[in-house]
Amino acid sequence: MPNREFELSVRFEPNIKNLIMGAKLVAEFRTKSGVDTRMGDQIELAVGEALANAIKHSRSHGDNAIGLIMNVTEDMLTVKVEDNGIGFSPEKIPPPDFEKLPSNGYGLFIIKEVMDSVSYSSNNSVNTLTMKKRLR
Amino acid sequence: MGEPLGFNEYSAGKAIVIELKGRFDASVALPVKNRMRSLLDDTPFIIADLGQISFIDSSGLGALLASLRHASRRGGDLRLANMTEKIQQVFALIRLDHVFKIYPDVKSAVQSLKE
Repeated sequence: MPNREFELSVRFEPNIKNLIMGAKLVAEFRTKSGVDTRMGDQIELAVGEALANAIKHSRSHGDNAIGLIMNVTEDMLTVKVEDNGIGFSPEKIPPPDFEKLPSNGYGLFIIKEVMDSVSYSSNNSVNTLTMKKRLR
Repeated sequence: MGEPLGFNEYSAGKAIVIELKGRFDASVALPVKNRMRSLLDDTPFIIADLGQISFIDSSGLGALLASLRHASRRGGDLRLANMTEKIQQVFALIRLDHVFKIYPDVKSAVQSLKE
């Protein structure tokens, strides 16, 4: 029987090798929530993209500057990814150029495609990307 | 969840087949891209067997795109084989399923280079 309310979190250093820590948390989320394979795959992808972006743009080294929080309340998943980088304005990021097909710049597009909503905020040097998805 | 990426290589017809296994994410995209560039110094054709990839993100896709371009500039090609439905869905998200030549298995990808 899947859990309908729970929260999972992890913090780690902004090292790209630590992407696996996010993947482990997503695996735990999949088990606890009982989401179907396709939805689980989409969430895994969005979290991976958000974490990779946060790690690449973090300004700190050697501390736990990257945070991942996955909160399930009723049928809604809220994912927060925190970093202390220079931040960005999601609305200023252009969509990928599907004619020229550059080899990067697809992360935010993918997140928007697979999640129901995406928002971004910066407070006291902490940037938070918040993604929501209805689970059922 | 899947294990870190590993790869194995072998020759098949005109191509070198590179079998990728595990998570193909931002932590390994650059070494894979560099390895493919190195392979393309020996042969213009690479077949990437993606059958054992447990996860791919946009960095992994970017490494494949960059390798495809590198192969094309050398008169060759990077062809993909053995994709699972999960991996196919990520390719379709950013419309790369129409950019690469994709085959259901390595055998048919190798055969395509004989035609």
